[in-house]
Amino acid sequence: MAELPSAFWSGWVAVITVASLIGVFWLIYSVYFTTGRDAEEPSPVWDGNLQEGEHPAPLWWFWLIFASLVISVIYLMLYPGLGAFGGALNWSQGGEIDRRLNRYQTEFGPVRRLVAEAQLATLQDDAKLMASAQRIYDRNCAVCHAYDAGGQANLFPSLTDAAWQWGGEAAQIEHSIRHGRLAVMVGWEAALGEPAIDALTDYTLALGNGAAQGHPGELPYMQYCAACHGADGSGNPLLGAPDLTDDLSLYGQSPAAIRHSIAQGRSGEMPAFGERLDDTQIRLLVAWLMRPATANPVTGEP
Amino acid sequence: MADRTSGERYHDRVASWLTAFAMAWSIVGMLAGVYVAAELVWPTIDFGREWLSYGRLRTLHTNAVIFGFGVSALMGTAFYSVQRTCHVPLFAPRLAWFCALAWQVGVLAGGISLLAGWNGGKEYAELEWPFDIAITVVWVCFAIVFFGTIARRRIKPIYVSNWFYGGLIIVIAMLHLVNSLAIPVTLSKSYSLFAGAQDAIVQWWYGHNAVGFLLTGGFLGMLYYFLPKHAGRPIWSYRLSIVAFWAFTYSYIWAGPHHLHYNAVPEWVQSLGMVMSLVLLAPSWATMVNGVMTVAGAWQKLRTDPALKFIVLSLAFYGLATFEGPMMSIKSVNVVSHFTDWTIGHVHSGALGWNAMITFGAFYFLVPRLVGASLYSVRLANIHFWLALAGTMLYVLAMWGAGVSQGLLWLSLDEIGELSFSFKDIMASMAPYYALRLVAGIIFLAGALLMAFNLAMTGKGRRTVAASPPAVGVEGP
Amino acid sequence: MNAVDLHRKLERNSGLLIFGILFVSAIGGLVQVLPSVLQDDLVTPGPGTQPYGPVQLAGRDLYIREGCSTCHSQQVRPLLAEVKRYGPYSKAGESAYDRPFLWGSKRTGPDLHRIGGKYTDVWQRMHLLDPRSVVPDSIMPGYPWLAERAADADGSIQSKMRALRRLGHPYTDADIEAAPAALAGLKEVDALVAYLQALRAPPAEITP
Repeated sequence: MAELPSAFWSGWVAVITVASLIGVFWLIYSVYFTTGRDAEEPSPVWDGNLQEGEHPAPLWWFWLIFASLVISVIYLMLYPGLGAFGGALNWSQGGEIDRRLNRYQTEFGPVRRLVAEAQLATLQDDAKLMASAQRIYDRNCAVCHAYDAGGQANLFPSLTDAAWQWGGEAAQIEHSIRHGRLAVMVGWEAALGEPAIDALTDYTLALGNGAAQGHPGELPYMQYCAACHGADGSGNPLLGAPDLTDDLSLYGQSPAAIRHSIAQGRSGEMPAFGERLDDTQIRLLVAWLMRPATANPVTGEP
Repeated sequence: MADRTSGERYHDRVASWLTAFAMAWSIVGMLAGVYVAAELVWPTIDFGREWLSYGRLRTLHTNAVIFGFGVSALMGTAFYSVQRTCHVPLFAPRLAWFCALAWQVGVLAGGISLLAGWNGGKEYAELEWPFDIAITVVWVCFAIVFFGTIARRRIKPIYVSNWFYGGLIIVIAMLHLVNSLAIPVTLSKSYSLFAGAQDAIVQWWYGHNAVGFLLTGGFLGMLYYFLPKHAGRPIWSYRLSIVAFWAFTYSYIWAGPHHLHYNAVPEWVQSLGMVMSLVLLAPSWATMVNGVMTVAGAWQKLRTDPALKFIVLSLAFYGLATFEGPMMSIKSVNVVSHFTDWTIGHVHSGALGWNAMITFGAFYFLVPRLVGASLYSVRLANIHFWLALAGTMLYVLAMWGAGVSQGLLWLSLDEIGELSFSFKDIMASMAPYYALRLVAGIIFLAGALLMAFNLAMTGKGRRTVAASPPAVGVEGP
Repeated sequence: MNAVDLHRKLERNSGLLIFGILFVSAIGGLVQVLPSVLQDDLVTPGPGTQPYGPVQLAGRDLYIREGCSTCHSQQVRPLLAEVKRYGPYSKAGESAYDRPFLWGSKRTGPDLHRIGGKYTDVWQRMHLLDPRSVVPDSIMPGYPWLAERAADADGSIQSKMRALRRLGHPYTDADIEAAPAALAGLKEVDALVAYLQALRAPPAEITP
């Protein structure tokens, strides 16, 4: 916090604080060590047996509050407190976090650089690093892609199966994490009409079964869909157009779901994490996501 | 001394009703507390109903307990004790009735408004602007009755309990007026006159001192009357009372910014908040020492008298909470404790261990005197004592465990400088603590229900003669 | 004069006692609160801090209505682990348009000051309506009713903006004029999601 009170208010704060602390000390000292008129009179009786006792206040309590006042004054000499006076240590919370971030850099910088530049296999072989990677995943990815990375809700893709809409190479996965992805498929119902949609739905299902040859949907497919999904339906990771020949459709494998995709279109978004995660974290995530024989990270089962 | 033949009587019926209202609010408030505790274990038991939703019900819990239970108990005991310590009946008794009843209507309507989603968004000041105005009106009337009675007193010195009750009335008025400043938009919505960091500083000046002058100072007034009265001994040290009161009133008001350590408010504000929180330990403990030494010598009563047991136990928790508070205000400790359940544990060691127990003790003493009958069952009161103690201990331990582990796990880093735990893993590990806390809450609530039954039966068995004893120096029945 | 006799004067005069309490209890506020509320740079908007648009403002008021700050803070402290977990630490200037401030005091759930942009609107919506549909062990309540009601059901958005303008928020007549149209057709959940997505670190603060 760089904001400091103006000279007037700074003086106001310092003077009233110090004066009031002195005032409190005087009050306590005076109550402890002077004879007042209360000594001359007996305590009144307020309510039957309700009276004030004549015991002197205990001395240890005097030293307790004396000590706490002394500690306060010392603290206010060392740390900011009295208005704009920054204290002898010139401490600030902004300065402290900067120091800590520097120390973090000294302590962890070299190892983090090594991780960021390491071969994926090296990282994957290190169980501790993979545990760190999984925690990065848990903190950033899991609420959408699920804690077992298996995807969920027919909206957030599984990261454990073979389908990688935007490509499963390390560079492609890194790009997805760093910059995010925006997938848009337009809906065709208005343009093509229902019969064509039905034919395309059926054709897409046939693609999955490898029985597309000579299918009546082939013509509209080639006309409208092949540009993105490819003539053979194998998709195009550059466009985020998924492979239609496998049975791993993100939005569901049922005829109704597929029909919905064709008729109404779909849009999918993966936010960019390049501003939240540094190179080390992204490298660890890529390594974790691509680790061989992707075992279910939670159950350990493949 | 006043005229014994005037035949004036103390106005105790208003105190009796406030006692009953306080009892009712304690049960409503604790029930809401138990329910929100259960929601943290089984999150779907709000059944998709807005008014059962955690965010609204938890707000009702704090408001019902602080303003329903706390203020009703304080108002009732203040009305009861100020007459006796001033040797005059209440000034403007009709206004006292207005205070008592208007407050109940206000808290009830306010509670409903909270469930309906009227929420100003400031902690412990959530009620929207129409209620802020109503609170101000009632509070002014409370001040008129209380200080009016004091002004007409027939004994020159003002007794120490009235210093604290007076502090409650004055300081809460000041805090409430400033913190509630807002521009109304609709009946249920207003915007704070202060923004951002300034609003934070104003809010915690209020929030911390609502704890300070209501939940601490106000209840110290209760302690200074009921403890010596019941123990039958004078307050141990008059001079200790003096330093305790003034040092308390001076230092508490500064302590608010310890709720904003390492937040985006200037360091100088935080530092002053911290050092004054440390200073505060001494005046807090002064009263504890004064109380314990007052009971010393009347220990034999502790074996048999449930009211005194509650009061003495409340002193122990008071001492614990007022030690823990300054410790948590130290910046390096606060780094761990802030935002965690440790705070919830700290608050409840105060709210259950101190506020509720002192009030229970005062009520076990007060109700038989108000209704002119002996307590229906001492045995039930003793069972209540052990339930209250067990519930509080379990609650506080569970929240310490939860809070300290949250605080440390959130901060922990692994070998490559990554966070050692995801938030969700830490949250998931809270489940046993939250379950224990629910059990603790149920135990404590069960005790309060026993007490309500016990006091209600005591009331049923009252004598038919007028309960109000004559004013002026004559002992109650 | 010694303090005991001074005190005895006060405890024998109710007017003096009231004055004494008021005086002593006012000192802390005069020192901490008064200079703070008069210090403009505590509420000077930071770089990139804009007043909330009508949809975000409506969402923010829903955040308050549902008591979200009971469990979620909006305050990243300048601590190493906290900056690592949530992002750049919070500055005073970021809260210049926050009435009331919503920094919170408890994290039953995580801090939200940098939640904007982390997840998609679709996810936020699903999560608000039924948290366990996306986070199976979540203990957060669901808010299904947010999907049912219009975001500005009582039509108060313009009065809200005018009230805030009186407090210094720079809304133009055109902004206020356009507000109902911006909210038209939106449900409460849409407004709340828009608010959550606006909770971001100022652009200059983000580490590359």
